[in-house]
Amino acid sequence: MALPAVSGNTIFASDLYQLCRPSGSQETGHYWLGGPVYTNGALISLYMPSQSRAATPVSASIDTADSAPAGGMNSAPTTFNLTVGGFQISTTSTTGPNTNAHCGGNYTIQY
Amino acid sequence: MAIQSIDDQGNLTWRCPHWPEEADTVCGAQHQHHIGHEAIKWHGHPGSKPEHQTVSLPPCSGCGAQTFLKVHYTEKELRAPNMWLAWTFERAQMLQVLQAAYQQAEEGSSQKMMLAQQMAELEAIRNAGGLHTESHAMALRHRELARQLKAAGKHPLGEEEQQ
Repeated sequence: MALPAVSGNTIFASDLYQLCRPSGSQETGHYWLGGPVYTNGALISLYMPSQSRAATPVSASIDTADSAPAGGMNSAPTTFNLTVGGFQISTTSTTGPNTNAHCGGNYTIQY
Repeated sequence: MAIQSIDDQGNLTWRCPHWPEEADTVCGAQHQHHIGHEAIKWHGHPGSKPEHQTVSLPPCSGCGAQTFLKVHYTEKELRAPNMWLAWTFERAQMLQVLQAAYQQAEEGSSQKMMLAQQMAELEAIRNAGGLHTESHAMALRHRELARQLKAAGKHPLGEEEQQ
């Protein structure tokens, strides 16, 4: 179903669907976590906003398929602070000083 | 997916919910672990509140991803649309539309059967005054995991030193 929009573009039902995920659905995408590490154990962190703004997530999964931890990042990051707005990806498993500790991959939020 | 069951002895079964963008479908690898597994533990920023922390499952042997479970839910979060199907004015209107279409549909047609199924789903919500979803059941299992972890001596970050 397509709905007319004021701007002349079209809003599809699938667009609205992304704002409120039904039970059992997933939201997927890529993340990239990187930054300079000034000392051992320094924190690198990012906040990954979700497209959904109404459904409560039950889990977040991440891999490092795009880039394994490197450049002073010693292991895969972890996630927490999982809410209707998104979640945090971070690690303190770092060795410094290093200018470009990083990793990247896919994420899946389950609703 | 994620935690499908957890028993009183701390044995849990779960399916990997990870869906890499390049894959055609969700990983879905089946796993069984005990809460004593070293990878099942709490995660959060240093100094973060326990309710903001997650609990990790062991990395999936199928796809390599690691899953982190939300284990703390507010009452508002448990009333989200994916957790609780409320009986609303919109659903009541939809039921009326479906009932009218059902009357018009050809007897024995697939459309009539589909309409009957959709009507039954809405009537179930109406008759119960609202229904909890599978996501709600999963949230309760995740809560139970957190309870058992604490009982087994695995406490959220920042709470260990208080025990």
